[in-house]
Amino acid sequence: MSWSNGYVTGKWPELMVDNFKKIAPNVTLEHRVITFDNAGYAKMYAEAAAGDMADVVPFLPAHYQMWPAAHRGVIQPIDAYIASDKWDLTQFFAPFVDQQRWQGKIWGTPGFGWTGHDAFIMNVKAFEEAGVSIPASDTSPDWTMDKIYEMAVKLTKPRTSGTGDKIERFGLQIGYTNIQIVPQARAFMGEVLNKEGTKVLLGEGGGLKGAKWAYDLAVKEKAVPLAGGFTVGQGETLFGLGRLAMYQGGSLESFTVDKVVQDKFPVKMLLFPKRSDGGRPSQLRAGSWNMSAKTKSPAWTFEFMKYLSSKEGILTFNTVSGNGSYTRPDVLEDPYFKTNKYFGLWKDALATAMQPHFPANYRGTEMEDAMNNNQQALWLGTADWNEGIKKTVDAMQKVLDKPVE
Amino acid sequence: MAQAEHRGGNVAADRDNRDLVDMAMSPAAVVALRGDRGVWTTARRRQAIEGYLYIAPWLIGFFFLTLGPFVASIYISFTSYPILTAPKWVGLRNYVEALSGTDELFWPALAKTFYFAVVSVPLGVVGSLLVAVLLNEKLHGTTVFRTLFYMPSLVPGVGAILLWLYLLDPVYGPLNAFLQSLGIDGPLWFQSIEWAIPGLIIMALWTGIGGSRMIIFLAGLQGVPEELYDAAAIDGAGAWHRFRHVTVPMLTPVIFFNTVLGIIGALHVFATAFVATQGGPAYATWFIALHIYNQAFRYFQMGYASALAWIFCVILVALTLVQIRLARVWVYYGGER
Repeated sequence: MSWSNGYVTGKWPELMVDNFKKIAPNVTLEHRVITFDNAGYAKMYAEAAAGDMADVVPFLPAHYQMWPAAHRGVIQPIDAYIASDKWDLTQFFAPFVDQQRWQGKIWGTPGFGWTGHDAFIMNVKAFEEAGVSIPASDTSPDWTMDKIYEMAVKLTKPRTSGTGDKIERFGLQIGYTNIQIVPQARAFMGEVLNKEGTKVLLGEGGGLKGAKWAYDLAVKEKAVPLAGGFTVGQGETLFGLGRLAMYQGGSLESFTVDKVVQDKFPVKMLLFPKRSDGGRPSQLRAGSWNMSAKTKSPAWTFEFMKYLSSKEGILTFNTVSGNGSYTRPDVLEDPYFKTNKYFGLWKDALATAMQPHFPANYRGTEMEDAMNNNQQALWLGTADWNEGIKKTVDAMQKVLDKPVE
Repeated sequence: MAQAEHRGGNVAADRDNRDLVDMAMSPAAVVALRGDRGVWTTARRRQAIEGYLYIAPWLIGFFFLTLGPFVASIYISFTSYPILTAPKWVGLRNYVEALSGTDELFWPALAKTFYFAVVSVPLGVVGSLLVAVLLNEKLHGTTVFRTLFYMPSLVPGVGAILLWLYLLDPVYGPLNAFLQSLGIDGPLWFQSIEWAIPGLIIMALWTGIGGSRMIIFLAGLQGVPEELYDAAAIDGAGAWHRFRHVTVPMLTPVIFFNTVLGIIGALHVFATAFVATQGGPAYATWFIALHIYNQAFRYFQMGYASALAWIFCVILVALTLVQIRLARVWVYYGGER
């Protein structure tokens, strides 16, 4: 039996293989390391075409990959194995199980995942310096998207001496990529894509309001570093240097931010403001362990998928590799999560976590490329707002209108 | 005159002898000379079998891993082929999609690729030539400088890209900090639509000027007969004139070789854009090779990617043929065009 894994390298995969040997001493488990990007998916497809794909594979819904893999017959539904094993799906948070469903079947086990970039991480010292108060909780009337906008502007501090960028401290790091823009749109009761994945909604209603909110902060107010050119990781670095007052992030930052901040200033995190319907702007980003459509040992394959998604599998995914992944409630009782000074926020976030929408023609990567590049042009000021957002929407829609292949 | 004729006669005789020797080395010539064309001796057969056995690994690799996919891609380019299902014949649809502009990224990608090549190749070739000329001077420490200039080309590609990402970082980068100290606002480099390609060109020149191209120029320079420089000096030619009228004409075959390879290499620009910019910002570095890669390995549209690759291949071949044709005008071989 074989397992392709590219998410976590190092000791965790070795631990999984070693532990599974204790469960199934007669099963030989080969661990294959893949890169967890498009090259990794291309490799798995090439292996599938050659009839050599691993038995357990990760086609992540978060990367728009699970649905095309199911559509192309690379992975198989696991409902029958769940039923025959009487595997209890209530051991997981329901939204993560829901994300494994497609066309009425379950295509993977929720081995890891989070609620996406649904929070703002704040440098308390910068807020104090700028005379901006941080609301006590995310339900405060002072915690709205408009207020966050005002805060970001006030927190932006021009450089008065020395070399380098003209801004000494940026107010907020946000981005225009799918992972960040969807919660922004949802905060304004909008969407980037409709639920069916056939229509782009970024150019209308709340989607448009969210995009304009981000655009104005970046282009009009220049409160965003390099017009959002920084990736999330770079934003964190800038934050650690004290040059960024606040950035949009997620639960993973609970476990990484202290490493970059190193006690230089206190940090506070708040989830996105609640919507008028009580929903929490987020976009669930689930990992998935899937079963190859051509596995020769489905029973053991399922057994290993179960193990990877067990309390032990998921807890060690975090404790050994420093992640902030929480697809099942019982792992949150572990001191790793309980003693983390920031993580408490996310315990409640799951109740209202929102599902991602994906292109009906499975062209998620292509659509994201169209969105990112056209948004970049907009944010870099080479197109005016009306023209730029129309171009972005048209380019994305053009991808959605392409045939299913 | 008579002496010259005599010398010329000797040269002709020498050339004939060399040709004979060359011919004699060829098995076909041996057969032809003997007049026993088609007759295989046991020894020759064994020799041929041994030869083919020695090159068998390469032949197998070539036929199955290069020529096979190469030929298959012609067929695939006329199909819709998302890898896991059988290719579906679509005729010329893929070619029409690219050439008609339905694919709005194709022509701009090609234009950006040519922009990169048109700027980076002349700068690279001239830069390598000048560095080679300097390093060809027999001065103390020349070998140290040769090593130093060659070193960037030894840096692994991704390492060099990451280094330049840091050097050209608009906020942390030392180059912009230096410019700022002079009162100049540095560009956003890879975050800027206008400066992303110039940034990649700088990166390419850093690794390219002192690399193998410089070595080839150095070898070429050492092949220029010293007598020509002596004769030019006697005629009163200064350093510039010796360079202009002796070095450059004598090096034209090498310049031509480096230019052709340089253009082909530059038009294939991929790794730097793939790692440093992913084609952005706003498609600014979305080169044709990256477009082909994305279609094939990110969007899994192998049929369309194959068509793009073939269009690009035809453009490259045509461009190379034009260069070969133009070479007749400016390239000198042994003092003749």
